[in-house]
Amino acid sequence: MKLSEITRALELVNLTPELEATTSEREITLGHVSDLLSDVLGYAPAGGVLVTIQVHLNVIAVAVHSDLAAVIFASDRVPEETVLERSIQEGLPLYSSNRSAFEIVGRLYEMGLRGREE
Amino acid sequence: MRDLSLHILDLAENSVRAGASLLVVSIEEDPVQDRLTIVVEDNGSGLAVTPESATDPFYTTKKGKRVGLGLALFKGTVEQAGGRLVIDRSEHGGVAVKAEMQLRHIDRNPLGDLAATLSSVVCTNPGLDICCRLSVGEVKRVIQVSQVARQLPENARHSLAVARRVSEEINAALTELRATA
Ligand SMILES: Nc1ncnc2c1ncn2[C@@H]1O[C@H](COP(=O)(O)OP(=O)(O)OP(=O)(O)O)[C@@H](O)[C@H]1O
Ligand SMILES: [Mg+2]
Repeated sequence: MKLSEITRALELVNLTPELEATTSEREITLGHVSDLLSDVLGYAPAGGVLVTIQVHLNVIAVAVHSDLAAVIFASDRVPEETVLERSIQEGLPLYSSNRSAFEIVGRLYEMGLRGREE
Repeated sequence: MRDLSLHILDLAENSVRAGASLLVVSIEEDPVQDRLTIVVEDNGSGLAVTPESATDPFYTTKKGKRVGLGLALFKGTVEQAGGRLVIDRSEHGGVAVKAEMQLRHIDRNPLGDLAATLSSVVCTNPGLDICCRLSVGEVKRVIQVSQVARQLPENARHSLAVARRVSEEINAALTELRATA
């Protein structure tokens, strides 16, 4: 599934439109949901999408380190402008949604995305 | 990092990389002021940049890495518990990382297994002098972690025995402190 299809289906707000041209074709098959960054570091699958309510700059660094394809902030959370700028520099696309993490993940699963197994 | 001890492990790794021969870990629980203070300091090379840069998750001097997460994640953890992280020069010559948190903050992470953490640092760095200062309220204990390890008979100084001995010592001190305080 392409990142652009996911953002359209879930009506996500694109927080980094500057990256649209270079990242919207990314193929996404995996995902992870967590607000604990050590858990993201340990378990988020490379190439996957992260759903979280944490909007700290550390989320961006951890996502870059783990080679994640995109981050979706749930429950209308939006990082500060400086965080968005750093993410653009790092080429990591960010989205936000007014839905809860539970609702977002449910929809992603329905679309065929899967989490890390056991 | 679920446990504060794992952050302490990260800081110890930083000190070792900075060439330290001395590591002092202080943990102070103040139930009256509702404060938990953790200080990790060393006699290493000191910071080459400002504390702000050092806590930036994209700052690292490790080769081939895009991110440096140890200090940044610790700062995040501390701030999430209503606290603050201050990085200073240590009186020992290197860096002092000082974290102050609200002891009973709902989002404060547990200390975790400090004994296991420090014993693993001892075992992997036999040349490093490690001192652990613990206090709960007015009651204090100082454990010379590396000396505890060296006091073991030479033929029994393998890492499992060291880890067990150091763990016993630290856990005993923690239990005693919490009971007296
Ligand atoms: N105790 C210290 N003494 C001297 N320099 C330090 C010390 N602690 C950190 N630094 C410097 O700050 C940088 C950032 O440290 P930090 O722990 O945040 O990340 P890292 O150690 O580079 O990578 P990671 O912790 O993710 O493995 C280090 O690369 C080092 O240059
Ligand atoms: Mg480090």
